[in-house]
Amino acid sequence: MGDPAATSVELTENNPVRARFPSLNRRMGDRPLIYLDHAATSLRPAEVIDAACDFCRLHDGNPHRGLHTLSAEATAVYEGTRERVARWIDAPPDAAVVFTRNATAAINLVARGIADHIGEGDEIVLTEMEHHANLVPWLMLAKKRRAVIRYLPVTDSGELALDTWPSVLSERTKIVALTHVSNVLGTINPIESIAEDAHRVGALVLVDAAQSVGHMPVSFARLGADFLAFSAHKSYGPTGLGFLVGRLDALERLEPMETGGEMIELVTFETATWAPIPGRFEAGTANISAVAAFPTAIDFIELYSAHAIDLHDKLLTEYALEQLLRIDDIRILGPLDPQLRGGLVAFDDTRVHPHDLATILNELGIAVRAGHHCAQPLHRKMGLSASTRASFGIYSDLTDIDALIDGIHQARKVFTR
Amino acid sequence: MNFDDLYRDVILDHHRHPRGTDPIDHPHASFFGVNPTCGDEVTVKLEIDRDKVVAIQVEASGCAISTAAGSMIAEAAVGKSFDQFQDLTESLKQMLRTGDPLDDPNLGDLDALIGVHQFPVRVKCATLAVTTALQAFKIYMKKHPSEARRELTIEAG
Repeated sequence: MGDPAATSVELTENNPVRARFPSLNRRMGDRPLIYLDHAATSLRPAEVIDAACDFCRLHDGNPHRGLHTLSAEATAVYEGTRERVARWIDAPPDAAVVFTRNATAAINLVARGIADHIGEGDEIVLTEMEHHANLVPWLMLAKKRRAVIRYLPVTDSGELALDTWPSVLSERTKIVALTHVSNVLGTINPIESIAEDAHRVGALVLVDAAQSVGHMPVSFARLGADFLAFSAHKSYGPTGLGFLVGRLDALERLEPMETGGEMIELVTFETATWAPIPGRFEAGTANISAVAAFPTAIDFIELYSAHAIDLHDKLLTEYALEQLLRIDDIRILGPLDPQLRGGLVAFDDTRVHPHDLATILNELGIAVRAGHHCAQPLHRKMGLSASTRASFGIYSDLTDIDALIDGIHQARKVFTR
Repeated sequence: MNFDDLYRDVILDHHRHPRGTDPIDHPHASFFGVNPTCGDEVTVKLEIDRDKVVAIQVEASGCAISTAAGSMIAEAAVGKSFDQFQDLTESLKQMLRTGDPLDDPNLGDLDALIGVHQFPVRVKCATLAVTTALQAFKIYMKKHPSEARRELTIEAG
């Protein structure tokens, strides 16, 4: 790969990677598609789409469920992906990779599976910047077990208020669940030190890595968390596949959320015992073609390197912040220093409501996200009900941001006529 | 595309100068509506006399389409019975579904929302206030069944 910085500049100046994404060939009316909604789902390169199709054309069996060749091949493909993901995410031997439907399902698996270990008055620590996926499952758990949710606040500049951290964490804390990168503020959170502190009081740590994996090098071992949840479709992979990476001793504490085929060891008319980890968490037939295709997405990311993608993100974020801040009455959500952020920028244009802006941008061929981005409490705290978010992938470049800025000016013209 | 088709002058006018904002301190019915996909919120309060809306307050927070629709319904609702209000709601939904203009004088300025038809994802913005007002009206009718029956009998007669 050579010098990652050089790759990054090349991507930004003249982005040849775009040709690999078939959906970027789409025209939006008479305009090219400008995709700035990577944080919702990344576009998929042709080779990932082909890999899913190739599996269906060639192997197409159900893993672990037959003695015939197709099933055996499917098993090899399925378990091959598991090993590949474990290597890629730097999971040590005392950890396992569980296939789930998406990151949300991975978090639910933990929040529901851990219920027996949570008692009345026990504390669950979240942050105010969580996506609903890392908030609602814990609200449900707290309600069920009469546990208490405590929030690590977010500062006005969109960072965790770490000065309050020692008072939020206590001997009663059983779980700390937080996002690695905020899907609204872009803030990158200091997971390593938080996990260290949490472990000191005996709490488990779950990290929602939906917005960091595929954007920057993420090492499960280095983060020091007990659980890491992320999805394939935000990392150039197929939809319908997510991952829960967990330390074995932490996974052992979870009761399976779904029961049924393939997750058992022995079933009688009266009882059932569970298969070893990770099988016990994978009831029913999985999204096999997605599992088969995901290593190709990893190959794609590794071709450019996660480090180069991170630099690319930061360059685009810096440019977007610079350009947005030149416009009057635009408020940036989250830190203004691009070094503290992942590859997304959410903002509030006080002159044009996000939905109106997004509709007008869409007519110009520009796809952004408008709304609360599944983070209603955070928006309410910031005095907003919605914001507009531009988020970047490897195929994004500076001209996309220029188009966005031009679109904002056009939207304002509509509203000031 | 011409954005003026969606954001017609009358819509922008309602958005900038919303009607029906005078507070109703003791409403006969009120309802809070939210569009969970985007976070638009609206509260509708109704004052009802003999099954007809005599005053309405709409507190809307959201995009131009949803706030304008709230303002338009505040104008259109006054004097309407429950049945008329239900008809109006159906007319609006039909217009947004089909894109065909409706010759329904009950709609008032709401007919300016016809351009929303071309933007299916925005239809919910245009209907939030109306469906919320209808819910408020339904609550009133549930609480006052005898009056509702009486009114229906009179109308049938």
